[in-house]
Amino acid sequence: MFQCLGITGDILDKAIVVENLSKKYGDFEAVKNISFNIQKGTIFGLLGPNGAGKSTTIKVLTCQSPPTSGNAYVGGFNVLADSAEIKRKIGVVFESQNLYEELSVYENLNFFRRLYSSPKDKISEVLQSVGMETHQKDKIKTLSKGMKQKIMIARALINDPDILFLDEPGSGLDPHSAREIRQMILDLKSRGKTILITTHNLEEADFLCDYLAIIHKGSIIAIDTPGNLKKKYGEDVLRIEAVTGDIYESPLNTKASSDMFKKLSDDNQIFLVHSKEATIEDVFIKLTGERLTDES
Amino acid sequence: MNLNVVLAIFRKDLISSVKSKNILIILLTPVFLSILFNTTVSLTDNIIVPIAVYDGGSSADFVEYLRSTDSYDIIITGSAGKSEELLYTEKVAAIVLVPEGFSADLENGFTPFLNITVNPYDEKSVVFLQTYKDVIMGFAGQDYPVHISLNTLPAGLQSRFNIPIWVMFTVIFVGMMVLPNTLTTEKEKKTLDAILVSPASEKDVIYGKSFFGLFLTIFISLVIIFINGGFVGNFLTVLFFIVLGSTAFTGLGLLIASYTDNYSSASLLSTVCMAPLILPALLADLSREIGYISYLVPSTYMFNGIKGAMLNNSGISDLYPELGVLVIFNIAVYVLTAHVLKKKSYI
Repeated sequence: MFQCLGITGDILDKAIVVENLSKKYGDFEAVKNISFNIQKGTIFGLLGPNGAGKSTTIKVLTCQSPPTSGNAYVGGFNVLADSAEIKRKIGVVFESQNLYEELSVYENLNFFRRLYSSPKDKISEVLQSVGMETHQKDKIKTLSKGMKQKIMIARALINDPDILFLDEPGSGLDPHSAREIRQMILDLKSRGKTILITTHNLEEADFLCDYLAIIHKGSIIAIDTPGNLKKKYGEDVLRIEAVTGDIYESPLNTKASSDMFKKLSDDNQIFLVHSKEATIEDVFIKLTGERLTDES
Repeated sequence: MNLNVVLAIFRKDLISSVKSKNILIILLTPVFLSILFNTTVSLTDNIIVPIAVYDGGSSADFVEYLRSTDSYDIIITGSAGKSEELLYTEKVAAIVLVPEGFSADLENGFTPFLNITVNPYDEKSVVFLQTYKDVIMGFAGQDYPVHISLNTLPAGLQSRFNIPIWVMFTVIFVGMMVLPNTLTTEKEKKTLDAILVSPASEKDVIYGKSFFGLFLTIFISLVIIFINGGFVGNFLTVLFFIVLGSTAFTGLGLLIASYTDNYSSASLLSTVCMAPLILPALLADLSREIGYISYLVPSTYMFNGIKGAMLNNSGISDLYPELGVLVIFNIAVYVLTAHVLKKKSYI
C-alpha cells in the first residue's frame, strides 16, 4: 500500500526515481538538482571523482540523510515519508568495511539477521551466495580485504533486498578480488536485483553498468548506457605508429584521418595501423576536462 | 521502540563485551582493584617501621630497647643532621633524636625531652605514632594505667565496610565508561551507519545500548558485592540504590557519548567527570568542608544509601532523603540527555 499522494506510474514502475534532488551541508551544495530513474533489475552506475556527490546521493537514497530539496523514491516509497519501508527493501554495501572486527562472520551476520527478523537459515544462504560458507567461525579481523568485501555483500543480502546500493565496491581490492566482486554483482543482477553502484573506476563502470550517470561537482552531466555515452561523447580514433616510433592519431573516418594516412603512406613511414574505440575515460575527459584517477 | 531490534543490539553488545579489550578492561578494573585492595590490606598486619635514631650520648640501652620491640627497623646515625637527611629523602618514616643522658634522667625520676619528627605522608608513620608511647613507657618500666581488652572485627566483616565504597566506584566507573565506549566505537568504525540503514532507528540504538550499559553496571556491582562477601543488611534496598545509581550514571555516560565522536575524547571526558563525583563522597569524613561539598555530589547519596542499607539494615523508608536526591538527579540527567540527543537529531 503506497501512502504517498500523487504517486505516478513511473514511481511504481521504476526501482528508484530521483527528481530535482539537492543536498546541502551548510553553505556547501554536495548534490545539485539531480534527476534520474533506475529501471528494475538493472545496474545503474554513478561515476565521478571523490567529492563529486556520489556517496551523498546514496546517503539520501538510503535514508541516512534527508534531502535539502527535491524528491526521491526507492521501491515506490518516498525517502522522507517512508524511510522504515525503504530500509526493509534495501541492502547497502558501504565504502568503508564497517564490520565488527572482533566478532566472527556468523556473529556479524546473525546480528543483522536479527535486526531484520530474517530466518536463521538466511545466514548460510547468503554466505553460500558469496562463496564464504566455510568461514562462518572466522573472526572478521583475520580475513583479507577481499573476503571482508564478500561478507559486506552477504550482510547487505541478509534481508533479501530488491534494491542494492554498492558504494565503491571494488575500491582498494586486488585485481583478483575485484574481478570476483564484479562477477558477484552480475550474479545479483541475474537474480533480479536492482543495483545502484558508485565508482570512480572507469573499467568497472563500463563493464558492470547498464546505465551510467557521470556526476561532477554535484551535478549529473551525462546519463545513458555506456555504449551510447561513448557514441555520443567519445570518438573512435585512427592510430598510426610510424617506423620512427612516433604515434599519429586522428578521428576515424574523417578527412583529416585519410589525409594523415595518405601522407604517411606516401612517405613509407607506416609501421602499424589500427583503430582505437572510444572509452568511458574519453567520455569523462570530454565532458569534464579532467582525468579520473584512483586518487581522485 | 522496536523490542526485537533493541534486544538484538543488547545481545550483540553483550557478545562484543567479552571480545573487546576496551570493554573488558572497563569491567575488570573495579573487580581487580577491589581484590588488590583486600589483598594489600591483609598483607599489612606486621608492618615494620623504618626509623633513624641519633643517640646524643649514654642512651645505648634505650636504642637497644627500641630495637628489641621488633616494630621498628632502626638505622643509628652519627648526627641529628644525618637523621633528618634520611627523613627528608624518605628512607625512614620517623626520626628519634635522643638527648645526652636520656636513660640516666629517666632512671633518676626526671622527665627528659625526646625529639621525634615524623613524615605524615609516609603511611608507616601512622604505625609509629600508634606505638611509640607504649614503647617509651615500657622502657621506663611504667605500666599502662588500665587493662585494655582490645578486639577487632573478624577479618570477613572488615571488608564489608569497604563494599559501599567499591559499589559506588563501580557504578560510577562502569556506568560512565561503557556506554561512551560502545557508542563512540560504533560511530568511529562506522558500524552505526550499517545499523541505521536497517530497520533500527537511532532511538532503538540508544535504548539497546542504554540497557546494555545498565545491565553491565548492575551486574559488575553485584560481582563486587559477591567477591567481598557483602550480601548482608537490607539487600533489596541495596539493590534499589544500585539500580537508581546505575540509571543515573549510565545516563551521564549517554550524555558524554552524545557529545563526543570518538573513543579517546569520550574516555577523557568520562575520566575528568568521574573524579569530582567519586572523591567528595569518599573523603567526606576527613573534614567539615569536604563533608559540605560532598552533599552537592549525587554519588554521596548513593553511597550513604548503600551504606545505610548494608551496614545498618535500613529500609527504603529510612533513606527517603538519599532516595529523593537520587530520583531528582536521575530526572535531571535524563531531561538533559534527551535535550542533547534531540538537538543532535538522535531522537
